[in-house]
Amino acid sequence: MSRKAMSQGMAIVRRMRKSRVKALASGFRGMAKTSFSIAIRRVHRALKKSYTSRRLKKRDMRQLWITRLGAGSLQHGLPFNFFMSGIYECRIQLDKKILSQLSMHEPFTFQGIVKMASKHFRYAAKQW
Amino acid sequence: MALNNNLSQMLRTHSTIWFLLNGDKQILGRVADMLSRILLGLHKPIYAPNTGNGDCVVVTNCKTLIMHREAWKDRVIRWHTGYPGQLRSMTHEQAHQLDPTLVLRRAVFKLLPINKRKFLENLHLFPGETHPFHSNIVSELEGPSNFTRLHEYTAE
Repeated sequence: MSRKAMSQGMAIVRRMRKSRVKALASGFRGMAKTSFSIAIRRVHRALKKSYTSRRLKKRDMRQLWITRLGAGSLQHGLPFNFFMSGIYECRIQLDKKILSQLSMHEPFTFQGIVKMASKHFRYAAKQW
Repeated sequence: MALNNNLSQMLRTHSTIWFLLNGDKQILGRVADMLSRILLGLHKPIYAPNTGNGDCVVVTNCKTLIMHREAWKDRVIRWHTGYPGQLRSMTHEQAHQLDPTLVLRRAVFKLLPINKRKFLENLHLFPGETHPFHSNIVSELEGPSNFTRLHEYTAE
């Protein structure tokens, strides 16, 4: 092979190797989306963060469901801890995700669930 | 626009509601706790931390809020003006005489998370009964305490 052909071939390989990283760096600020040596550092950080955030997202969503359920059940007269205790006694097997969606979008269904929970709740339901 | 369609229902659930709270005979700390929850929107099942869908509250009669008698005299508000040796202080009683709404506003300010302190602008405090928001108010809040003063008890 001639020298020129070889350098052209190596340039293609170099571009292919770096384009995978540059594709992940789209939308980054400044030279981090254009220059490989800067992009590779930002991309490593982004991938690390996305790995941990996939686990964090599950925790955050659960926390949000619990906040929403607490607000929704308090609207109908039961605080969250009594509500969950009553749900357990009723043997309603709906999880917090579905219950929180019901409290947002199906208010009358949720009101019925809170009534059932307060009926089955072991101690007397507090008058709030 | 029909009143039963999805759009109007969505507008109704997501709109901010103006509440009126009579601060007369309410314990200051418990009121502040309740107010911070309402301003942030934590009392709604549609709460989302990124959208600010809290409600506005008007509190009247801040002048007659209740706090422990020792707390009025002993608990102190401290601040430093920035100049050396200028740590100033003021008891809660003095602050209340200066501005009757100051103590409650400070309490709610400290209970709100640092990122969301701007929601304090939705809280309107008035020392007496008069307030300019009569046309905004939709419903009344029930305060957390239910007291009667000694001289208001009937002879029993």
